[in-house]
Amino acid sequence: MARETTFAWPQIKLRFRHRETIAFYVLASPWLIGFLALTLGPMLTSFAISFMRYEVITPPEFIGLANYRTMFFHDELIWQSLRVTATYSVGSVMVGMVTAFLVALLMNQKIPGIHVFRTIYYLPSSISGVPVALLWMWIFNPEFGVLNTMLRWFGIQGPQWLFDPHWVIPAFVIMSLWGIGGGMVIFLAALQGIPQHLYEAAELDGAGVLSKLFNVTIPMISPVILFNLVMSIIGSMQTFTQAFVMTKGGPANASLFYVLYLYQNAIGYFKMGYGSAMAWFLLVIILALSGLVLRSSPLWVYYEGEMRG
Amino acid sequence: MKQAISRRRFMRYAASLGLGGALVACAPKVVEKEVVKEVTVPVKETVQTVATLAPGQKKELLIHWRTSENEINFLRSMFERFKEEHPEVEFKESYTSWEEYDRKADLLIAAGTPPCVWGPMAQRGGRYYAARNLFMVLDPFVEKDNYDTSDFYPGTLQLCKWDDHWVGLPMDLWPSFFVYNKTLFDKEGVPHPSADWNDKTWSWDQVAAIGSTLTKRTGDQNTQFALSAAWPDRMAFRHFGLSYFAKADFDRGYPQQFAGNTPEFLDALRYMYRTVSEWGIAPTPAQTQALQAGAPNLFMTGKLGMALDFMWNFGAYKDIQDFEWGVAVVPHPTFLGHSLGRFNFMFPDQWFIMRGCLAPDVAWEFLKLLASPEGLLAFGKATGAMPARKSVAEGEWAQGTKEKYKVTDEVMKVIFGGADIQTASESHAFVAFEELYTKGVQPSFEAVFVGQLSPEAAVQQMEAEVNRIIAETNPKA
Repeated sequence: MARETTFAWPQIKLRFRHRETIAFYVLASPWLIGFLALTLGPMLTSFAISFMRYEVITPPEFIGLANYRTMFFHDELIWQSLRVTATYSVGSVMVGMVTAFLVALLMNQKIPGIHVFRTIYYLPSSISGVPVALLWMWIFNPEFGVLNTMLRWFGIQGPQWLFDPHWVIPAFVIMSLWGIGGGMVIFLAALQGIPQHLYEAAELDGAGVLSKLFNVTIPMISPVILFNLVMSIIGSMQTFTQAFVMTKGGPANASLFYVLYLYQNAIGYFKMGYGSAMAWFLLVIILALSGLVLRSSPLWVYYEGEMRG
Repeated sequence: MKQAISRRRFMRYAASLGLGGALVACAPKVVEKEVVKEVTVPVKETVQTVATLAPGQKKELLIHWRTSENEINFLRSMFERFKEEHPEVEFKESYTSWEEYDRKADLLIAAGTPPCVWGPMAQRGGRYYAARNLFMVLDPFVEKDNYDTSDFYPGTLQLCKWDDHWVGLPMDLWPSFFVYNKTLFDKEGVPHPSADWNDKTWSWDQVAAIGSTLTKRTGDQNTQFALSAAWPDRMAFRHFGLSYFAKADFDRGYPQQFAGNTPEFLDALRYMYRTVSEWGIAPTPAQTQALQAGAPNLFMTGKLGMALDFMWNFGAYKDIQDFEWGVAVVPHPTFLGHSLGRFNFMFPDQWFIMRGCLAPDVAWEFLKLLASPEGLLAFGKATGAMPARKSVAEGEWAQGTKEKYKVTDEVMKVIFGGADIQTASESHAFVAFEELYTKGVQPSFEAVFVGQLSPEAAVQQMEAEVNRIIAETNPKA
């Protein structure tokens, strides 16, 4: 007589904590796999490649620290590109942050049709990249661009903008104002979160407009200022599209941004190892700058509810 | 029993996976075993190291080309034609856009499945690959077939050789010449420029002499210019009989040193600068952008007397209604007291067989078909490119081109004359030209035109920078 056998799944008793852990990894796995395969993997690969001579079509060759040595001691364009990027970064971050904040203050007024104004000011941020670069090339044209035409109305002979080594970076800074909409929305959200009673209390104490701005508004939104500042610094250090489309780094390397030079090395000259070394150096610079800003934040950022000794 | 994965263990696994990925990516996956960095190509060894087909394996040729309908049709007609005599051959096709053309080829090479037959044309010329020993040396085939090259324009053969060995066969060429606005010349009463490459009276000095007549000003702005040669341009010095590198270096593919520190080179730079900044007969980049205002190029606006040009613009020029245009030779390099020999350039393209091709014998036969009069004529008709064979270019192709672009015999005479004397551009001839130019020359060149550097200082700066890059990029320097 044949014996019937039945298969039974092994009963594994898991504690709740373990079940939760497994569920976490299962649910997070799409991101984890994507992160490991598409972000961490290429990052580690680029770190390894930064110690190699690698042109894609020929096998990589280990050359130790040679790429880093060239970068720091022999390639003057690295320093030129850093100078360009730093100048732009300081200009665009300062001008961009202040303008975004001032526009957010304006957009925070309770006037009829304010939603339309908010949309109008945010709209340019939704268009970015190559079309914006092409648009601004026409705006900056010294002969018949809008900017110089307007300057001529006031009897001012406008500069050559993108064609002048001294004006090309200021031109890019002006152009960066196109994208303030994103920062403005974040400032606006923060401004609307400031409790009204703080302003009322300040008024009772006799505070004027400026006093309320510096003693209530700015401290209350300082965490958002910190966030926007860090993001702006990171964004400005990675400037590429505008320079690639509008100037190709010229004239005379006056707009040779770091990432553009990195691109030229990696994709233009197919020096993938050198490009990778440059990318890692940029990461270190961005980490250092972000760290510096974050370390300074206890001095100027106010968090509601925090205790200060 | 412990079931949960600890955070530390998870991080360890993640790091191992990442490191493993990195190591796999860095593993020396090579197209062939011996990749030579030096320029020397051992001919006999090369033939011996060619991979062979397994018994019974079909002869397969991977062809890599760009996604142009005409050109794909041309290739497919060639496949059919070839199969008539070689029915055992299968063609595998790889097509990609012009922008991705070289990159896709690079990825095929890196993946160990290089195209058997292709022509690198987009970002880098063939010499980039030849210098990395990625082309099959064709000497044994050329010798075996006693291959006749006498019909090809001399300038097209220059880049078919690397280190004195055959590595490719000519495909096409794009000679340089001048186009001019006949209506504008007639209106200003200026005689037409010469159509004779031996005419020394049509020179850069002559261009300067007629420049002011052809340049017009309205208010405080120039609204018509005599000349546009797009200074600063990478091949600019060739119009003046000069180059950044010695002529002998063009065959080597690697320059030995910067050759521009001469009075002639300095005066050529001064001349270019004066056309824009002193005489105002050529537009600045800003003026070019303003005048062009959406037109495909400045010449088509009718506001330009003459410009350096190539045949790829004829398709657009044939529809010009507002003025009559013609073709002239590039001015003779007589300028500012110098009179040099011509060193005008062309852009020649070639067909190559990649190392790693599993069927080199049939690849060679297919290469011969592509470079045959039949193949070059079909290619020329499909692309508009001038065939590399003189008999084809000046025969049936010329007739078709005249009808297609509505041009005269005189226009074709100028183009053929240019093809006879012109040699490869620096961008095609030098392995690392992109880096040499963009890093070594361009910044100083541009600095002159924006008034940042004097021509003398610019040349000194170019010399230092170019020589530094030569030391980095030339394996024999």
